[in-house]
Amino acid sequence: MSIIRITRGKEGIESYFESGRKFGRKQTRDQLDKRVHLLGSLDSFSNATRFCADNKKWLNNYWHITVSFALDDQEVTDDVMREVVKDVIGYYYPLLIDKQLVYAAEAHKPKVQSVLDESKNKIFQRLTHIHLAVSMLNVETGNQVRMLPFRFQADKAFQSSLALKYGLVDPADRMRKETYSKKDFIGRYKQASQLNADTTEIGMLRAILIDTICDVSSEEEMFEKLRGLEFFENIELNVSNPKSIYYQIKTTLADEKINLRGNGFEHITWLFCPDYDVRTFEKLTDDEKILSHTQWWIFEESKKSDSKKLDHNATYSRLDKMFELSIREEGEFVVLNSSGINEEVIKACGIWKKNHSKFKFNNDHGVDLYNCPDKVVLRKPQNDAQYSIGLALMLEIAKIRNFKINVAAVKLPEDIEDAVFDLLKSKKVALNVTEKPIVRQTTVGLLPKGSRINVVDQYIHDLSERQYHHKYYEDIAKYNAVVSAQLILDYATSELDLMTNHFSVTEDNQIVDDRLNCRSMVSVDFLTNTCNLAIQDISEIIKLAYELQDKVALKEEVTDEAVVSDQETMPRYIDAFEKSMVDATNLRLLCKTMKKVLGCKQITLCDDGLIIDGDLLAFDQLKLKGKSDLVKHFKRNRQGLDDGFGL
Amino acid sequence: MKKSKENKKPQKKHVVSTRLTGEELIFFERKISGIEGSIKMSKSMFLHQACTGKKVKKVDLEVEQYKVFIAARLGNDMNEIILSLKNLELSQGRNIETYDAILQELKQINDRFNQLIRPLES
Repeated sequence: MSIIRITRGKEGIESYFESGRKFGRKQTRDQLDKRVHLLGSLDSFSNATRFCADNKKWLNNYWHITVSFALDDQEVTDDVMREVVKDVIGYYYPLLIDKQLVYAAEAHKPKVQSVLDESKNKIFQRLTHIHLAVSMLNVETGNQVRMLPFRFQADKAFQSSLALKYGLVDPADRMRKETYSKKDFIGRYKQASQLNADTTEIGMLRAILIDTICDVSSEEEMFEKLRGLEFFENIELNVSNPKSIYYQIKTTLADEKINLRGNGFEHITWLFCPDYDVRTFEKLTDDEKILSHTQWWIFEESKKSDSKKLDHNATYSRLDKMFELSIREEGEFVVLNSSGINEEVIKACGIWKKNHSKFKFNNDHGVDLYNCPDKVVLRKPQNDAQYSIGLALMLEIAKIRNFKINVAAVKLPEDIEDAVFDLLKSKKVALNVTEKPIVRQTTVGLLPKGSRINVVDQYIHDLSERQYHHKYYEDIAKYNAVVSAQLILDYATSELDLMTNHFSVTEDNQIVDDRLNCRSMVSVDFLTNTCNLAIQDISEIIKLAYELQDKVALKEEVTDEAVVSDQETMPRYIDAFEKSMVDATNLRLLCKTMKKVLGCKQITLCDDGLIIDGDLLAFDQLKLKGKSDLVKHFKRNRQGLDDGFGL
Repeated sequence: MKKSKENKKPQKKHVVSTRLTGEELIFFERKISGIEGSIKMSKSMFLHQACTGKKVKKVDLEVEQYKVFIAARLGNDMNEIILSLKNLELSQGRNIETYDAILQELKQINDRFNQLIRPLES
């Protein structure tokens, strides 16, 4: 099941979702994982984060919650993951409703199967995981959202309850033998950073203390470990501020006390939490722990006065009045993009022009032209002469920007069409007029690579995948039955860094993973569920493997033919040998006669037989025991023979 | 935390004065006013920023907050609409053409809205 990790950040999570760029990693997100949009909206989240960065002076702007699944649960469905996300939000934000939160959740299913841990020089299996980014902005109040405080026992119980609810592996049953921190995780990509020269004395002492008490489970244990340190003098609980209670250590090395709070000491805070009786809490069941912790938080929050909600309706009416005229203002525009030229009515054109002033194309003809990233837009002039100049300029820009436009298919106004082309000719602009109309490449059903995905894109993509699967199911099944699973494994090993030592192929052409109770799967299932490839890609891979297999089979046939030809030539050699032996008095004459009969170029004697133009005619086939038999035969006929005679 | 001498705020000792015509003053005041006409920053601050080559950007916090609120609401609504469409897909007797048309329309609305709320640079 799922292990939940929570961190906070200021900016950059959206680009991490999209590009997968990370320190020490070279691959992009699309090469690494199959992205699945689960819930929320990344655009809204990005907007909220940007607002916080610009207008709020907060230390962090969002929470980043990751939920990762065990190897056994890699085939977890998207719907289950959506439910998990809902439950995680419900648990960590018990006081908030969906309308107040801005969040985005994405699942990353690994295509690349393994990653090298550079610190340990060990290869790890990559696993399916969910990224949930929650903005700290409460959109109804404009204040910071407060999350359920961390409490080890309650969070552990929540993870176990999730596992139980969805039939996943409980992380409590699969505890790691060694502790594994975030620092270790980052160390996978780069050797964990050593303390640098700038680290202060206190910083170095804190690092030693973190290492010493990183795995303590009680206060007594912590005291005992601290007393073992040479520089330890005493420890006391600082209760000067009841809202922030923490331990302080006095050492023999530094004058200042070291506070056991902040980075690296989060896990010991729950050991002396004043509001709880730890021992009683530990005796509770998982559900009771979750309920108790959540209720405590709700009670604490209820003591505070309610935040004033922002009056968005008032803002709307104010803006409505202010922009009433601007919003109603409409303008006729001519838009040129890769699909051709269209006339469009743009509402609130004043605002639109203001927003696009950056793209305005300077010209001396007084034409309102905007050279936008994906299109060229012209404000339709009243004057025909200006209109034709504007259109000609548009077409020129399109040519320079390599817009693939079929000019023949462009519908220009009939009355000024000639004028436009005359203008183009006078400027010596040669436009490629293609004979065939360019078919617009449809992007429907394909998730945009390396960019933001939203719920609509995801749904259309899922639908198209299902349709594709339905349409080509028989084809894929046909190939799947005959394609060698070993070829598919070889492909996954070379292209997707599959950990080959765990996989094998059964006699009935299925792939087995020895970590999953030797569960076997056919090639398509392996590529879909384990390698998380899209059905379109799988179809191509299977076909390629089939073609490759065909070529290999053809090669084998050629080898078989060679054996058959051997079977045809050998009797001829034997026949020639027997005929030559009748008249031959020595080996030289034998070979000379054989050369004549067979029409070959070279015959050599070796220990195993006669080599005739590279083919071996063994002594066994000639009913001779060996070379000595042949020598004896000629000696009997009073003729000498040299060993290894060059013929 | 004690501030070192190097981190001390530099003192602004020099004064630069200028005269403006009535029109220029109106133009100047418009620059430092919000959309509804109220003064948003001091004249001194504006001139200081302009002299040091910084860009002065008018931000209506209320409008920005409203944009975030609307974007969040649209995000949630889109999720709910897609959930309803999924349920519709499962039910039999749906009109495929209408269904596809709704989906395409939704995609256009979503793309247009997302384009609107993204910064111009993107």
